[in-house]
Amino acid sequence: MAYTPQYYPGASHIAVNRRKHMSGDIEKLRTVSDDDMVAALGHRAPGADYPSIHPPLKEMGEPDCPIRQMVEPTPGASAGDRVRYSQFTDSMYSAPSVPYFRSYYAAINFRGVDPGTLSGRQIVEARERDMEEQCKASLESEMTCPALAGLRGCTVHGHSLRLAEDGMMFDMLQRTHLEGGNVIEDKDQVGVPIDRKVNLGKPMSEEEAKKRTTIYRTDGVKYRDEPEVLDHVHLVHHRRTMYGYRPETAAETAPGVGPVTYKTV
Amino acid sequence: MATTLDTDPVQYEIFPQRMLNPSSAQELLNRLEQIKGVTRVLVQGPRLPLTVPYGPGKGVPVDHTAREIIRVGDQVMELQVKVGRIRLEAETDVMEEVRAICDELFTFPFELKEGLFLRRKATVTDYAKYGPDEQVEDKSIYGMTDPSMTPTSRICESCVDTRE
Repeated sequence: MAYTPQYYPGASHIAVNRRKHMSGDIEKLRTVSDDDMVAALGHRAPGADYPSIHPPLKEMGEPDCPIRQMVEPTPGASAGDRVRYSQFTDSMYSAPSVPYFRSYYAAINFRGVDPGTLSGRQIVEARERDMEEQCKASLESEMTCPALAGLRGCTVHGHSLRLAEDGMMFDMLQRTHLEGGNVIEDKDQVGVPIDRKVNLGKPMSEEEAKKRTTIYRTDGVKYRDEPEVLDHVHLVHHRRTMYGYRPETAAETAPGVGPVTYKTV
Repeated sequence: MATTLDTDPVQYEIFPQRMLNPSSAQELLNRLEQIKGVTRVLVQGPRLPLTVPYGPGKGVPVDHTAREIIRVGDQVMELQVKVGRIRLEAETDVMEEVRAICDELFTFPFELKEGLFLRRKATVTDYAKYGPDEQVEDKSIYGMTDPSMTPTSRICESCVDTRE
């Protein structure tokens, strides 16, 4: 039988959503055209060629290296694309994703990406066309609610602030706004106006956001109500604290000794 | 240590669960202004800059729709923040009047607290901005200004030399 990774413990819908984000088994909710996304990212003009920093690998002639022979280069690397970034911010008010799970999603499901996880933002650096592929998948999927998350290259502090009256996450640079029930983006990641209105679709309702969120909150599913997750976190913490880089030597948590219980403080 | 006396004015803080639109903020401030005994009202929230302050787009105009001109009483002012909380001071207990207004205007929950939110004594920063306490005629200015205001904009004359 083929091994199916579980990815994340827990029985609540939050844990299920976390597993979905990590595994990449996510629902596509909207369509954003390539040109619209490129305009929103602001790295190159929509429709323009990808600028390159070196000739295509096939033309360069690579050195005789076993690693290079084993690892197939990503499309961006073989074409010699520049390294560019996309950065998402997710509101703490039940946004569908959080920086950690965006990073898990990128690192597990895409090659050649360098995710960076911070408290309020999550950045992915990669060759331009690889980054765009990952960014488009995130933007169009259930990981992103246009009102509660957004592409923000800077000034991300709205993630921890209360929502506005219309349910939008605060943005000092107002890159997005509600127009006729849809969220419209008319500035790029860093707040420079673009010559088009990118329609990101309808925002999720409060109920839907709570259903799709990966955030444990006291007004939703409490972290303390998830015994399997707590037990797993305690196990990792115990092994890491007591056994450092040799967790397999932890006799009391070795396979076959039975369940290990930790008291929740 | 600051001691609160019974004769001191009472202070309240309104903390709505959502940040207010300029129109809602204007409506609320106008209603608060009409309560008898309210002497000071301060709005606080995240700043709305005129231009992008940093990053590759530095200097580009923002044109935030929440940065609107509002009219409170007979005064017209430009909102420079997204209104997140409102602090007010009154000579008498007006908590129930304030609560009634908030209940009427807000479609979402809010917190209303009584406490000390606007300082009554001058701090070192106030000294630098306005000069020695005994020379300040209107002491209600304490706690009402932006703490990140540039020192050169309102500096005490006796401090200018040392600061420069």
